[in-house]
Amino acid sequence: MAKNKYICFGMVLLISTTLAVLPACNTVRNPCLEPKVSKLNVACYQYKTDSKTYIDTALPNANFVCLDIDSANRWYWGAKAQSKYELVLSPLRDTVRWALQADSAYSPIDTFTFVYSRKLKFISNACGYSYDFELKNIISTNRNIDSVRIETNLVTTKAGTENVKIYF
Amino acid sequence: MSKYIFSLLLACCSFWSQAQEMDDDTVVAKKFNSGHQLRIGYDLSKLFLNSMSSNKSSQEIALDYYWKSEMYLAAELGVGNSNINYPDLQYKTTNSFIRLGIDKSLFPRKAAQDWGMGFFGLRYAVSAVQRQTASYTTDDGLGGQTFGTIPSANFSAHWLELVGGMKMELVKGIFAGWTVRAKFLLNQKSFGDLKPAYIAGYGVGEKATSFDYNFYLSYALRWGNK
Repeated sequence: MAKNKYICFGMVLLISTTLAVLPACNTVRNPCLEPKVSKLNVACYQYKTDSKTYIDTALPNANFVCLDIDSANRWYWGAKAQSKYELVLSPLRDTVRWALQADSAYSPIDTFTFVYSRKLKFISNACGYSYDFELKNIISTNRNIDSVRIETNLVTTKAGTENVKIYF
Repeated sequence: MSKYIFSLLLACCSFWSQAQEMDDDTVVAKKFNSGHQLRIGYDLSKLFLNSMSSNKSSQEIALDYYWKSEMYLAAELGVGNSNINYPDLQYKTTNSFIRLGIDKSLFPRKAAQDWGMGFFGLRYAVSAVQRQTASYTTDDGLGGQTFGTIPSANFSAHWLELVGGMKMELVKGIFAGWTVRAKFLLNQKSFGDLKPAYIAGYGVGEKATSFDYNFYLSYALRWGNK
């Protein structure tokens, strides 16, 4: 009967497909394809009096080191001609101090104390949990820099966000 | 996603009406007592999947009852659990579910004993999910770690399904058949932050759309056939 042939064909097709795809159904954790660590993005600017604008300023030979997170104590060491820096905040503390020397050869050192709150964030089952931060305040010295400003206070894993501007 | 569901429903409805027209055209003049049939099936595919997975399992039975005009009332019930045990995330879930709906056979029956079918249908499904306390570890990217727990939670999951498949009578009263399913989760936001990695009957709780298949072995109870 045509109907039964049709059904038989369908069943054979499904069984063969099933056997083919079954090995792929084994539940191994999916790879985490997203960044898990929130980075504090810092950019350096300088005021140009002739054009009366702030322009990107690459620091000649910068040391940007963390004073409170041991493993970040040489985070940027002799970073050449760089104007943007990605710093980390600690999920174990509410403040973290970083020190910046624009030119390791001679310029004075400024320190920044980032004051922030932490927020636990579920990324996915593949990536687990992470922390986002909200910048509350920045306390800095002004030996070499002119000023510092919070541009975007949410520090997340999202790329391309400028959180802090340092003016020279 | 609602646009996607709507398109599928529309396609399904047009297919349904086309099938109805076909039925009218090809209707067999010979009348017979359709009788009653209640089919009870067990999903054998889950046995394979359970044996291949160490962190999730599910069981499922299916019932359908011949209603009228090549339509069957369908219900599927099941239970399942998952054990997420990753280095940085651990929790367990259990859930039970029920799906209710209707199947429409694409082939008109030609005799009272003719119960084989190719079909499509719709389901509404609901599941009660229990998630135990979850523990997590975060990595700050510098070798530092934090640890914590997320309290246990109970919630319900609702979804719609478009189904299609075939059932063939191998010997009198014994059927084998498969069903493929497209599933559309309706209330994913109610799961909160920690969306369950697995909901038996649905699939991955993090995804708003899921696809699945079943392979049922069924037994038919019949009465009223002459």
